[in-house]
Amino acid sequence: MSSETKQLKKPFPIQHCPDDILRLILDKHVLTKHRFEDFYSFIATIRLSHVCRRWRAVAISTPSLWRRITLNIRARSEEKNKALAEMFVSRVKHVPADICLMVHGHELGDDRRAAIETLQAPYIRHIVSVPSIETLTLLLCQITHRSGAVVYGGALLENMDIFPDIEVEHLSIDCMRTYTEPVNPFIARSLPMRKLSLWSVYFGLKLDSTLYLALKKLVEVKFRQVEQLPLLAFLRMAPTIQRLKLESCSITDAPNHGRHALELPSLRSLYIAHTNFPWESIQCPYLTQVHLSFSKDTIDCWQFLQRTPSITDIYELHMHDPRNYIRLANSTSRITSLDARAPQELLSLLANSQEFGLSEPAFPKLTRLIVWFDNGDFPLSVLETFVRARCLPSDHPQSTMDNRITDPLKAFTIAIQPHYVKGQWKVFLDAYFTRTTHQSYPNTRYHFKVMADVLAWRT
Amino acid sequence: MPVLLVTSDNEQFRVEKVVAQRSVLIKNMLEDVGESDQPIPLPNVTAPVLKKVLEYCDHHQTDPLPTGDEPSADESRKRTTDISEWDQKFITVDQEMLFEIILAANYLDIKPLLDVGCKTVANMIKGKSPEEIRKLFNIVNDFTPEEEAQIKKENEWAEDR
Repeated sequence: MSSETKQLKKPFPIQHCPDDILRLILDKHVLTKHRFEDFYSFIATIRLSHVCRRWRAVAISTPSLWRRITLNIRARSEEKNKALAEMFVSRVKHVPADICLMVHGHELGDDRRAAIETLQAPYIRHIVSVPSIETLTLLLCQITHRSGAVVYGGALLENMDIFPDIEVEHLSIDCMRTYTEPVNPFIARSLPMRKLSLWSVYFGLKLDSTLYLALKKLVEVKFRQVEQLPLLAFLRMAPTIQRLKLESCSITDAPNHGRHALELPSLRSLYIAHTNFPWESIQCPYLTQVHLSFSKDTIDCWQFLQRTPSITDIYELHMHDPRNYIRLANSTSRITSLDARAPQELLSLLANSQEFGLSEPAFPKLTRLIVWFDNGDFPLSVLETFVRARCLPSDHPQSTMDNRITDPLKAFTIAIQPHYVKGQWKVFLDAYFTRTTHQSYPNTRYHFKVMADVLAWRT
Repeated sequence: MPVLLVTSDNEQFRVEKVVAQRSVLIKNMLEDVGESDQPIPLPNVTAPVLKKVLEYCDHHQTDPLPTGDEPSADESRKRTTDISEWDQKFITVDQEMLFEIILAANYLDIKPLLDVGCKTVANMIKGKSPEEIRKLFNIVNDFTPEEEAQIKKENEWAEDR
């Protein structure tokens, strides 16, 4: 009997499951990736509550199933939104909620008074009146020609009153680059939040002094495509930031020549990609993690790395001048994790630092290394020498590890484009590395595995 | 030291302690009684189901044990109904056995297995209307006319997003 036939003959006896298990199943279903997962989990829960009386009772008595809602703010949905807001508030109870408010320009129309009424509908205040909000998201779509003063008698956001009377854990605003008014006066109206995410917005050059009150408890910042960002002024208002991520942002601070650098004693993790970050203007005495995706290895960046000895993990370092590795090795010995390009020079430096004029081993505490092979034109012997010097335990017969290095690497990964894996490279990698591929990345990853006969392959 | 488990249908299974301890229930029992060769009775689990559960425990014996802490809100959000390849293959059983595995995982307190079972059922519901769900599980629509009217209203709110 095929499993399909069995399924038809004996359906899953879900009505015999205890309530706790049914609750768990419904919870997993709500978390299923639906087409617009985050937007429609509330709708998915409504549908589950329409199956039968028992399912409805279980669903309504489980506030966590109702915690995520998205409302499309538009005039023609006012009655529905009002009903959904009412249902949401009564069912989510004390559970921290995720609320997403979407505003589509083409849904608002060009009539000023009608548009403002839509943006100020009472159900918006009602929905944010729940006891606890984890994330409050505002999505503004296709509003370019309506965002100015002409249509709405001021910037669009000035007409919105979405901030609750409680502190929100995470505030997220995505304007899809269609809203050209500064968002910082709007953010200043919020009570303090711990996380702030901005995507495709104009931050605004002139900072509202009350912004400090909204930012004073901030621990995590994720900005992507944020224009007109006076970063240093912003950071001065947010002294407790621990994690800062900037991607494709346009920073407007003037160079800080000759002035004291801004000290950020709380910062632990820094992620910079495609952003003109003012390296020379900040000091982070307790920073441990730096991610430099697609950032140029400018002299300012290098000087920052050199004068920040607390850093232990560096990810995606695009180093084109190998001398920078030597400078870095000279300035800090605490790095335990490195994720870098320019592999030939780096591997040679790690294998034999004396050749590069260093008296001590380079990065002696390194335990995790990922190297990115952008070209396959260096000798395999460099890799073999490196493996002997840094990857094998000191008691391994092939080990040449310097006795000042405590431990071999715990993880060594090569990320390489598949077409470079051929000939002796292929034999070597296939023999001593475990291969993994990831659909999001073009590179194949090879993870070194220590074996008794490693490097004996030539003999 | 192996552990002796006795099922409701009186079958005995001798398993390694590390495998048996994937069950928090058994782990606690072993900690309570200390070193002992006494069999552990499992009156709510039959032999075919326990065999299947032990297959899971054996495969996952080196996984880190759940700490018992509730996941953070962020983690909860990240949880999806993704199931690993091995688990997917393991849980491809008839629906009666799936039900028994879920009940056994709940009784034996093996949270990751309970998760896999519930995710599997959740995936069966995915994309289905209430009517289709009723059909799938042979559920009777027992709403009163008044409740039906309320549901109809709620349906209107849920449509045309």
